[in-house]
Amino acid sequence: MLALAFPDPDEDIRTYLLRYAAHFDVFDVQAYYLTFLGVLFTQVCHELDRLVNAQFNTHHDLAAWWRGHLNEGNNRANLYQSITRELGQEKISGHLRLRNGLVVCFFPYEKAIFAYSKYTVGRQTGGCCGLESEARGRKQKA
Amino acid sequence: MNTSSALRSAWERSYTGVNHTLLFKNINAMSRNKPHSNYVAIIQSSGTGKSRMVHEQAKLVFTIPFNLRDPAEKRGKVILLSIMSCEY
Repeated sequence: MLALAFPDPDEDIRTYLLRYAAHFDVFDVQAYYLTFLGVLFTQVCHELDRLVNAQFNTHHDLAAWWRGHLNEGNNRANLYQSITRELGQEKISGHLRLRNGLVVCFFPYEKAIFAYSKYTVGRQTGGCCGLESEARGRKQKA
Repeated sequence: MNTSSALRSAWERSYTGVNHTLLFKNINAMSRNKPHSNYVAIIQSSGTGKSRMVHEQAKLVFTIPFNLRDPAEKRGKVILLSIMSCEY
């Protein structure tokens, strides 16, 4: 069997995902990854808005175009670097409201992340700080 | 041609087989109405075309690929986010 692997690893993504893995509990890891996905999808949408001028007839056409785009030059590495850079900036402190009602709060400089949803705290949205104490309490009880 | 160049060259050649369409059909057949995780593990020896298969599947569905292999390792671990219903 081959002794080499291809394609190359996405080191920025791997480094980000593993950064706090040993220090977080399961709730924090879930929130951490959800925050990552929130920023990932946002950045991909921005990339599409920036680059896509034509209307694709089918989603297969869009998928094939996107696949080719990521394969060109450093597009893939640049996209992932922009995502991890965005995640590392203070400006994303606060919360992301995802479509299913989940709210993820991320405080990188306090190394604190909280996730809430209508399923876990009984309400869908609300002030991030207001929910923080509630989540802390819930986690302590768990 | 060194090994790295040969691998890259092989990756860019036409894909042989229909495994990517089978994978696509199988993923699409997963239930999305139940609280189960919609992910699948592809397990096989290194060099048998797992990564290439999912790379080919990316022609069929919008995919955000991550290769999470430790750079010190010589075998791949690929995670793909495939967005099965694309509104774009």
